[in-house]
Amino acid sequence: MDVAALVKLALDVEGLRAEPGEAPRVDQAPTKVSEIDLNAVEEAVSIRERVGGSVTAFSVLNWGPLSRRMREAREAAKRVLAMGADRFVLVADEAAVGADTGFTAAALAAALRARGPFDLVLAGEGTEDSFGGLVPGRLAQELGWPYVPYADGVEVGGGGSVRVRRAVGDFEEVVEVDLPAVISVTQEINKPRIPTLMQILQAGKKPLEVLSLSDLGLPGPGAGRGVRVSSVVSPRVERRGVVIEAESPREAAERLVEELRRAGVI
Amino acid sequence: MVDFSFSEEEEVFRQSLRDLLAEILAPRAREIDTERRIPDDVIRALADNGILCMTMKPEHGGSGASWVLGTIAIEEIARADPSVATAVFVLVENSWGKILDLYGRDDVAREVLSAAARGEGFVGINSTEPQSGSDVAGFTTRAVRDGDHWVINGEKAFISGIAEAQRLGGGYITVVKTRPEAGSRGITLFYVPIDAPGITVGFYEDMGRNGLSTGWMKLKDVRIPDEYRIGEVDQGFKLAMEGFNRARIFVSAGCLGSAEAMLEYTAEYARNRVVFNRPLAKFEGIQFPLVDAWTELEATKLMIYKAAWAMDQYDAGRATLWEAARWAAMAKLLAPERSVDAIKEFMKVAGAYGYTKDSPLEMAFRGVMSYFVGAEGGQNIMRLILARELVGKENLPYK
Ligand SMILES: Cc1cc2nc3c(=O)[nH]c(=O)nc-3n(C[C@H](O)[C@H](O)[C@H](O)COP(=O)(O)OP(=O)(O)OC[C@H]3O[C@@H](n4cnc5c(N)ncnc54)[C@H](O)[C@@H]3O)c2cc1C
Repeated sequence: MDVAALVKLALDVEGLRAEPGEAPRVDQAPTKVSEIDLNAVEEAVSIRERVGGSVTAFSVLNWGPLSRRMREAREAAKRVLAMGADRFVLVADEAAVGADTGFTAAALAAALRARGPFDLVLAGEGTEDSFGGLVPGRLAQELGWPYVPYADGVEVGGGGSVRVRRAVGDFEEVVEVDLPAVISVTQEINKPRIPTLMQILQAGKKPLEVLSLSDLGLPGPGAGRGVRVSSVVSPRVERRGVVIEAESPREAAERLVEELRRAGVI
Repeated sequence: MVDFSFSEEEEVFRQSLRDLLAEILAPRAREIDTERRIPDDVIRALADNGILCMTMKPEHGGSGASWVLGTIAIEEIARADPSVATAVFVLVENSWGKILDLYGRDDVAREVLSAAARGEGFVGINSTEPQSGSDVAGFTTRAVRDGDHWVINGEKAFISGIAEAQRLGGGYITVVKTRPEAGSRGITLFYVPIDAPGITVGFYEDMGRNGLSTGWMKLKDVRIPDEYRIGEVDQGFKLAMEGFNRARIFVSAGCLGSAEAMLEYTAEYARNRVVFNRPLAKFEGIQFPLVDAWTELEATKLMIYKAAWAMDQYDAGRATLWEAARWAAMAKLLAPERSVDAIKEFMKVAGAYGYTKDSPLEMAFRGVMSYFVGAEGGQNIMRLILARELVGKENLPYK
């Protein structure tokens, strides 16, 4: 089975600094592979290990400046290749920086068509930085394939379909979807492997291909900004500085509950 | 201009290893110290991830990793286990094992090192003797040829990993005299399995790099086949010096990693501890020593990675061993002292809490002290090595 895994180079939110009431300094924050996308890669690699085939990872670089992000993207690609992907296709273009999910999905679709065919596309249910969760669905629409979101189990049998398990509220739903299909996965689906030293060293020999938008025949600057982010500010947090003094833990807990009620928190 | 960046491979390795160690090692660090043992599953996980003997050739069970990658590994391991016990277990093999890897017989190197790489053996260094530490050529353990065997008699002291070698199997790169009258030109290296008949061992109760044992070894008529010889007869001194130089870079990274982890710990502690109604971190009297330590540690780090890079240059045939040795000696001169000084400062910041075993600071302090007092060569020995170059051998006060 030839599987594609979508991998976003997401802002490392732990490295995001912002003064209250100001925009976070996005350009200064480091990026890394979005955690849930590692679950998608893990699932793709374990499917290949079970039934054979190939794993190709695809990424569209959304954050700039490119001069800095390319290096981080290459590191991210190396990690994904070390986990077991066979090749990595990176769409990197100044014009794609800051693109909305519609444009990202179109670029991914073009890259998938150019390097396909694929039987299955796996993606994380959302990315750590913006958590829109829209790209897999929009990609499915671009490709005209069925889409199953939030999978916490994927069972590949023979034939042209896969069984997908999803947690829906208190229930567990099992659906069967015809291939080719797009599936988004949750973090519950697996535990991404940590590559060994040998796998990291061997990853250097695997192909990493960098494509521009013109390589994919996609329109240049100005395109793909149907949704624009107007502002991002970090909320002002004000501390009340209430100190609770009590004789015993019990008394302290009671006073704390009282305070929280008064503040309207509970 | 100089490029100070790590390669993509090195960055991915550091990050992957940090993720792994956060899972398998960091939560066990205190247990390793109190139980005085690195758990088997930790050793297995390090083996499964290719960390043990990573610098050996692939045909001997390693990954042929560069010295820079090896240094990253030790720095990260010591960050996760600041007592440096686990780091020392790994670094002794990765550095001294390399001497067997490069200069030992192929079949012996393959058998011994690939077992160690699987975590099924420990490979250590038997150099120091009760009467000879710094004076590496002044020891008395002796090997006499007997047909296709050698018979070794003597005693080694302050040896790391003896209990581990007994538990896992393995043995020691052992420095012996084959021509005592010839001084440093009469020294030969042998691989001596820990279970060779004629070996008796015992242990020291030391200040406390507790997770890895330190002991002594008496060798009485220990018969070792000539195949276990490493390098030419009487040519071992140079190989031993190479081993020390390789190890010194890793040792320095171990001290650094431990101190770096303690810097992060202490900065966090200072942010959370409230005194006089404000966080401890608000006082410049607290901030400044932390920043000084940070700066000193970063300077040390540059020196260490320069040394590691120089060792890779040597391995690639682009530099002499001495060129690497100079940086290794400077790194070893800086790292234990800066780390001990830094951790002492951190303990002051953490106050009484830092003196308890609820904080990792005292454990890190005990660990890095082992290198401060002299393991892999005393501080003054680093100075002697460097002085020899700076003012010339003719100006050494004695020979
Ligand atoms: C925890 C630990 C683990 C160890 N593990 C091993 C091991 O696995 N294998 C092994 O072979 N050894 C091991 N050692 C021993 C280590 O290599 C020695 O401690 C080191 O070589 C110094 O020797 P020494 O302790 O006998 O000190 P000495 O040689 O007695 O020196 C004492 C002090 O005098 C200084 N000094 C010595 N000569 C001079 C000089 N000419 N001028 C000025 N100052 C001088 C030294 O720097 C040192 O500070 C270990 C040591 C420790 C503490």
